[in-house]
Amino acid sequence: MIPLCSGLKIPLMIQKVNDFQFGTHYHLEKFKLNNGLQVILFPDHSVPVFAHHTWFHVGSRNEREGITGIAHFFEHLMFKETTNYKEGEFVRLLEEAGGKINAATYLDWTFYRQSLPVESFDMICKLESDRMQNVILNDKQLNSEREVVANERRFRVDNSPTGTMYEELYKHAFSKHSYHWPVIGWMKDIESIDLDDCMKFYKQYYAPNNATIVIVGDLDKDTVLQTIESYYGDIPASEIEKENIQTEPEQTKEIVLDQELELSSPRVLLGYKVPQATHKDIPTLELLHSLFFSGRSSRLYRRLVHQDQIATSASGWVNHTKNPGLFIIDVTLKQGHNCQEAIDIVDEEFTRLAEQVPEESELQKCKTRIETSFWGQLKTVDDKAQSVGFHETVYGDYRTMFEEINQLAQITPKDVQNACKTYLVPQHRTVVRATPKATS
Amino acid sequence: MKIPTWQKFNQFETILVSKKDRPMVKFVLLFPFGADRDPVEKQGLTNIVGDLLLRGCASYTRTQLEDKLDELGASLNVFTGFHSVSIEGAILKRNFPELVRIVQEILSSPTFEEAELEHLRQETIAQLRMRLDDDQGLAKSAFNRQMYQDHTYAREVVGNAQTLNKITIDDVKKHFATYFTQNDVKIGLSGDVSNAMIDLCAMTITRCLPDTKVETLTMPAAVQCKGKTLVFVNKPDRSQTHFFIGHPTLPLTDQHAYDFLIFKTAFSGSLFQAKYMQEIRVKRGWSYGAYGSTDHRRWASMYYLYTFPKNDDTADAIATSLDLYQSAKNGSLLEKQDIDFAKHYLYKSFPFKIDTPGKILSQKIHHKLLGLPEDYIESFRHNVESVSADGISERIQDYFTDNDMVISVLGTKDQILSNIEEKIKPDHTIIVDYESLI
Repeated sequence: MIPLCSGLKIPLMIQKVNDFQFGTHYHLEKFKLNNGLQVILFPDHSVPVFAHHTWFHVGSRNEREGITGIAHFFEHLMFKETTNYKEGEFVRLLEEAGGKINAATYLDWTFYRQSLPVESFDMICKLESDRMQNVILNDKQLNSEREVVANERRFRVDNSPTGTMYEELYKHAFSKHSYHWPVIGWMKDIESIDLDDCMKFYKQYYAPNNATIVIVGDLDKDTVLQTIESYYGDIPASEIEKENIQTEPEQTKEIVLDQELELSSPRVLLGYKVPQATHKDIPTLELLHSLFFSGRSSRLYRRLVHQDQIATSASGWVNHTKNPGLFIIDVTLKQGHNCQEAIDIVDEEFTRLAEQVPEESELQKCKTRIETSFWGQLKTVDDKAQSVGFHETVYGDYRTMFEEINQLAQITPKDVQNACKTYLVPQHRTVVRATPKATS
Repeated sequence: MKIPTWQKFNQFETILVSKKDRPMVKFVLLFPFGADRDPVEKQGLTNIVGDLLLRGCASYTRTQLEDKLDELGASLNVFTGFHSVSIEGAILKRNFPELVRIVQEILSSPTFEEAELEHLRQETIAQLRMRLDDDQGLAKSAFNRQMYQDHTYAREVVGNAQTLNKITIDDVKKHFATYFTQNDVKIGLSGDVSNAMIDLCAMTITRCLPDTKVETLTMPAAVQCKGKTLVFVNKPDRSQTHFFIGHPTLPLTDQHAYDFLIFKTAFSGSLFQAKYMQEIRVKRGWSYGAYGSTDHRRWASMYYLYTFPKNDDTADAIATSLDLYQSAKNGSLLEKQDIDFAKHYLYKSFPFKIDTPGKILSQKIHHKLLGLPEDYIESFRHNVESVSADGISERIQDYFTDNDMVISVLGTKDQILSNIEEKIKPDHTIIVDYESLI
């Protein structure tokens, strides 16, 4: 642990917002700087390491046609040059210090993660605060990274049946909302994004008032807050335009799309419209997911893979998003079976639940599985930081990650049945049916 | 976190890695045999036996067993490797005794029903077919086959459609009776655990498995490849390729293994600063990722480079990779500062090797299987520090070959094969259809 410097107090520019205790081991605190930067601390003294995550409240949702993919593209550019560090220095310093570094972009967020030995805390704050305000770009860097991003798109989408199908699903499930385009962007936009686009994006969204820093690990609170204040306290807030994101109209008709792909066997995706992450029905939808797909005894896994034996794999999940999103089902069929067989079974099982309330014991099983999965996601300092950062960014409050677990106890079999009847209906879904190309 | 050592409990070797911040327990029962015992014509037999253990026993049908495990919030899986079978579970601490009781049931009285074997056979064949969608996996599979040729390591642990179709229920019963014994079983626990849990596991194995000896197996070392062999895996409509370049290398037990570890970290580790990543991605933008790795197995170790450029860049990317490889070998690629960088990284990132009890347990088991010393983890930092740049350059010729290597490329033949051949002039070219790899 970094030694406590005697006499240190919480700096005046940082105000405590709240704290939260979960069980006997977890105690979290949230702070805010005058410039709007939020900081969440989650101590873990078991190993002399820490995770430092910077979550920016920007994702592909904030893009528009013509610059789709810029949020992800910019994530790559954040590893380039700043006024204080030449290209490659950021990564070199952190890797030399034994750090694990990465970043990710999605619909609603972009985050930068580092896990480091405790002695590097000062360094990471210095480096991250620097690139929050001092990134510089030139055409050479932009074009070199453009090639990397285009190759990433070839890898994740153009040569991947999975990527191609998910792109098609979101493209058609969302006609107005910005979830319509892929996070990695259309290839034509990747090829045309320019320096001006990038710098405008950076100036607006990479600012303290649009970020949350999550720190988990073997660190002393006072030292952490002093360090954060000294490196981030003077960064000015930016003016962030009011989001101009179109509301997706209610889907009233099933959308069905067919694709021929370089696949070994048929595969089907079903995306049902569900509310935003903060909606009161989301924990119930998580239970529904568990009931149908979590574990070998779950209803649809068992029916599709074990009982009827038409599928090789069957999975599903609720995509937790800031705006209404999707409950996704993904089934890979065995050769000789077709997508419609899987869709019929899905419909049968949803109808069965709509007609018959599940047993309390079945629901209890799902709750236990969710509890196990919750603990399974909190193994390392990096796991913990990710979960906290995700909830703070998407839900607006990190405490929801713990509260959801407690809320499960209140959900009744009738609630689960009602959620199934409300959300898991054909008129709210988009279906992508992929079949192997004739040559495959 | 303290690194525990293996302890003898009755006839079993056991290890306990304790951390109590989450109410979770992971356990591993490790059997000292694996797909290495499969008859050639029945490859996949050990894997089938392992999977069938979870498909019914005297007290539970498959369905009842799955219901029970989900009710407990438990995961229970059987993993088959070339030299081991491990039964692994994870569960909330409060339900641990119940999970051990279930493991006792499935080991004492597996039913091995004919119908379940047939289901499993068809499922496994269908899953093998799904591998056709994984371009990287197909390129690696072709690489392994060419590298290991007739050796066991050229096979798939899960077998293939032909061999799976030859496995009978009598084979399954006989295989189980022969190999699933108390002989040399190892027990590992991690998480919110106690010695009483080890006792419980040990008693369970004693109760449910016979105390019969299993013959120790030795194998020839894997063959050395000869010449520069290009294996081209042809798949239609690819706009991007995946390629592997590699050859056999030093085992982890070799006295110079740390020299090689540091050298390959500097040259092709999973670091942004590694030379290979810098040359392929950062300088040229040819691929999203470019790195090298080592597969260590009991009887062979293999080193390879991997990347995935677009078609137009593939021939140049392979040629550049080979040039980099040669420069690395003749000592002109890496400088002392690169070696020092790799040493710093490996030394300082060490805490992340031991930051969860599950990671420590996995490493202790892996090291045991490879025959590494008990203090491998504890002595890691010292061994890294002891390596000198001069020592590495003196021994570098031993780590790399001149021309004896395998290059496997997955792509669309008509678009790129002739370009590649022209650029790299392989000694042999072998063209395989991607569907033949399952």
